[in-house]
Amino acid sequence: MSSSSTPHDLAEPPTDAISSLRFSPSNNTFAAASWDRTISLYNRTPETPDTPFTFSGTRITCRAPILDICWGFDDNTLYSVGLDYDVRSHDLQTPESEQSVLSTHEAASNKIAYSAQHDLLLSTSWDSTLHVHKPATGMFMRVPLPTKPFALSLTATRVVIAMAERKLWVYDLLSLATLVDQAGRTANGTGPNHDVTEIVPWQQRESNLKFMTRAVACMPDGQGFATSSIEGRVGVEFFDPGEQAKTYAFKCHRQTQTTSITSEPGADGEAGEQEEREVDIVYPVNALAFHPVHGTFATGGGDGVVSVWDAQTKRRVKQYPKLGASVAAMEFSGDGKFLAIGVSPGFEDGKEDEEIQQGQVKIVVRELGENEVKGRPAK
Amino acid sequence: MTKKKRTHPDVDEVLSRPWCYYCERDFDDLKILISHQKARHFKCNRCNRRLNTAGGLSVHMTQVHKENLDAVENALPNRVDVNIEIFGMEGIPEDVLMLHNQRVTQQFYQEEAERRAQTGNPPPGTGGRGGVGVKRAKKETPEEIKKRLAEHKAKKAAEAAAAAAGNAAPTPNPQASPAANSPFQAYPTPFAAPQASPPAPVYSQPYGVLPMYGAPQGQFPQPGFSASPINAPPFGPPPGQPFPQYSQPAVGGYGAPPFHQPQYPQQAFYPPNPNPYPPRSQHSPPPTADPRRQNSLANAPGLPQRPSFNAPQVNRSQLQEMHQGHIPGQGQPQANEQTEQPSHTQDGKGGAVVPTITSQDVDDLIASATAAGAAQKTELGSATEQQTTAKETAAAKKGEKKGKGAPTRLIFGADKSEISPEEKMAALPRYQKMVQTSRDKTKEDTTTLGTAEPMVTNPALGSDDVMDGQGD
Repeated sequence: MSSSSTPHDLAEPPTDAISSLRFSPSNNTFAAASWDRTISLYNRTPETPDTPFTFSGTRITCRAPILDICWGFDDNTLYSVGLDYDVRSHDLQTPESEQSVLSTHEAASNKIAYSAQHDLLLSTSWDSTLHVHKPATGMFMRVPLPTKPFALSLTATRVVIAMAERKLWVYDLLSLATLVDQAGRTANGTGPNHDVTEIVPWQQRESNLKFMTRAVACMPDGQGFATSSIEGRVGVEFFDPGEQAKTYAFKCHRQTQTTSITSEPGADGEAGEQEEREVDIVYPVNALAFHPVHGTFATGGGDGVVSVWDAQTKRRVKQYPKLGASVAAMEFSGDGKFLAIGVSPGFEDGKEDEEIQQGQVKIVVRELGENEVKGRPAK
Repeated sequence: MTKKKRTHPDVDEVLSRPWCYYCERDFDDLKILISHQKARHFKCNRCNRRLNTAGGLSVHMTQVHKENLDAVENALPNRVDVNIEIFGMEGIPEDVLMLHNQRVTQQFYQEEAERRAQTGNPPPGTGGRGGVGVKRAKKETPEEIKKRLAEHKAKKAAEAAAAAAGNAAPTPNPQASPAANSPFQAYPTPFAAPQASPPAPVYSQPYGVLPMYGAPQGQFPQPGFSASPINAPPFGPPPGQPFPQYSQPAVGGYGAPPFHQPQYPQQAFYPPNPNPYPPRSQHSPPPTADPRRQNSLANAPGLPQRPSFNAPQVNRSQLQEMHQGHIPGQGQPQANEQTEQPSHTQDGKGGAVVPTITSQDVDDLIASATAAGAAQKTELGSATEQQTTAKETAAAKKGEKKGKGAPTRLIFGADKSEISPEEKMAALPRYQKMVQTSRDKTKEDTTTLGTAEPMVTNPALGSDDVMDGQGD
C-alpha cells in the first residue's frame, strides 16, 4: 500500500476501553474518553513527526465510565455523558477542568453531540430520551424517543438518531433550537421526566440494516448518512425522499475462517463427516467517520480493520492492516489531515469477559497523505 | 445429431482456472491474471508503476519513494503479506492452494445441485425422475390448492348472489320493451338539481338525494351493471340527434335545457367508458323504462316521472353469465369498488353507484361481497404466501451464493436482543461498582442502578448461524 500513512501509536493511552475520540474545533487537540472514567487530552505536536499528537498531561477524571464526549463551541469546552446518567460540561480553562451538570437522564447516557451552527447540545440515553440543551442559556428539554437510542449524528441542519427496532428518526435542528428556547427549562436536571416534550420528527425512517445499529455518521454535505450494524454491514441512505433508490448496503468486516465442523449431508454427498468448512465470521462495525473534505468514509470493525469507502462510487478506497483489537472509536480531524483510531478489546470482538490488558488499548493516529482517502472514480 | 451444447463447465475446467492469490478472483487466462495482479496489487500508488511482484514493489517503494510497503493493496485481509512472492499462479503456498481448490470444488457442486433443484433436471446418468421433481411439485401444491379453493368459493358466492338477484327481479328483456315511454320523459327528475355544480358532483348528488330511484336498479347489484343506466338515461345525446322528447320536457319543466347539452357532452360518457353496452345513440329504443318496471313502482305524486334507470341491452342469460364470470373470472372480488369504480369516475358519475340499490339487493350485495372478499382474502393470502416463500427461497439462494456456501457467525449480537455492547459492558460488575459509587455521591436512590436491561452474558455465538440476503 504505497500511499498508506504510517500509523502512530500514541503514548500514554487510557487504561481501559476507549469509548470516544473527538478532535477539537481547532484540530489542535483531541480528547479520548474511556471506560476508566477519564478523558485524556492529546495535543498536536508538529515538531515531532514521529508522534503527531502527544499526551497533554490533562486527564480529567469523572465519577463513572464515560460513553461519549463532544467538543463545544471552542477548544475550551468539552461535554461528556456516561454511566452516571449526567450530561456534564468541562471547562478546560480552569485548572481543575471544572465540571458542571447540564441535565440528568433516568439511565446511563450513551451519546452526545454538539451543533455549533445552532449552539445545541444533544444527548441520548438508554432511558429512551433525548435531551436538547442550549448551553448558552442553560435551558434544556426532554424529548421522548420511541425506543432505545444507539447512535447519534449531526449535519448542519439535522440530527439522525438510530434506535432499536431499526428506527431512524431525523429531527430538524432549527425546530429543536426554537423549541428549547420556548419550552426548555433551566433546572439542574434532577427530578422525574414529567416535563417531556413530544416532538414529531422531521423524518421517520427504517434502517435498511436488519441488525442492531452500531453507529451513524452523516455526510459532510448533509445529503445523507451511513449506518453500520453489528452484523458486518454498512448502509448508505439519503434524506431526500426522491433519492431513496440510491440507498444501498454492503457487507464488510467479515473474515472467512476455516474451522473444523461436523458437516451435514452436503451437496457433494459426504454425509455427516468431520470436515474443514469455511465460516464467515461477521464482526460488528463499531465506528463510522466521514472525511470532511473528500466525503469518503471510514469504517472500523470488531476485526480491528479500518477501511475507507467511497459512498458515491461504491468502491473501497483503502483498507488498513489489522490492528491488535477491535476498533472502538474513530474520527477524522476537522481539516481531514488525521485519522484517530481508538483500539480496545471488548464485547465487539467477543472477548467480553476478559479483563482489559495493558497494551491492548491503543490510540492510533494516521497522518493522511493528501489523496490517501480520496474517492475513486467509478468503475 | 449434433452434440448438445454444454452451458456449464465441469469441475476440472473450473479448477484449472488461474486465480489471484490476493483477492481470490479467477480468470480465463494466466496472462490476464498477471496483468490483473500488476494493476491491482503490485501497482505503486506514487508513480503508478506496475511491478511484477510484491517484493519488487517493496524494493521499488523503499528505493524510489523511501517508503515501506507494509501490505499488499486490494488484498483480502489475510493475504496482505508482502513477503510471500507471488507471480501469477506461482508462489501460492500449498495450503492456500489446497483450500482454494476445495472451496472451488465445493462451490461447484453446490451450484450444480442448486441448478438441478431449479431446473428439475436429474443428475446425468440417473435418468428417470429423481427426487428433485417431487420436491418441486411439493413446493407448489399447497398454494395451488388454496388458490383453487378460493376460486371455487368465489364462484359459488357469485353464483348465489347472481341467483338471488335474478329471483328478486327477473331481468327484463330489453328488446321486448317498446319505446313507449321515452327515457327522456323520465329524465328530468334526478338531474334537475344539478345546475350549478360541475359534472362529477352533479351526477352523484341527484342519485344520492333521491335514493328511491334506485329501486328499478335493483336487479343489478353489481355496480358494473348499475353503471349501465348511466348510458341509458339520455343526458348526453350526441348533438344533432333528434330527440324531441328530450328537449321538450327539459325546457318546460326545468328551464335549463341548453345547459345540459354543453355540460355533458356525449364524449364525456361514452368514449372513455369501457362499458360493454353500446352507446345510447345506437339503441335508443330498447333501454327505455319497460312496462313491468313502470308497474312495479308507482310514480311519486308531485314528482315528475321516474328516470328510466333500466336494463342495459343485456339479456338474462348474458347477465347471468356476467354475474358468474365477473367475480371469479377477474380474480378480483372487490371489483365492485376497485375495477368498476374507475369507469365511473371516468364517466364522472362515481357517486351514482350506492343509492341505486334496494335493501334486498343490498343484502345480496353484502353477501356476495363478503363471500367474495373472503375468497379474495384467502386468495391474496395464498398469493402473498407464495410470494414470501418465493422470496425466502430466493433470499436463501442468494445468501448461499453470496456466502459461497459458508455459514456466517456473528461475533456480536447473534441473539438479536438489541442490547448494545456498551450496555452489556456497563452491566459488568467492575463498572457497576463505579456507577454505584458515583450514584452514592449524588446521594440519590441507589437501589435502581445501572441499566434497566437484563444482563446477557452469553451471546450464544456459533449456535445461530445467520444467513440472509439483505442489502448488497
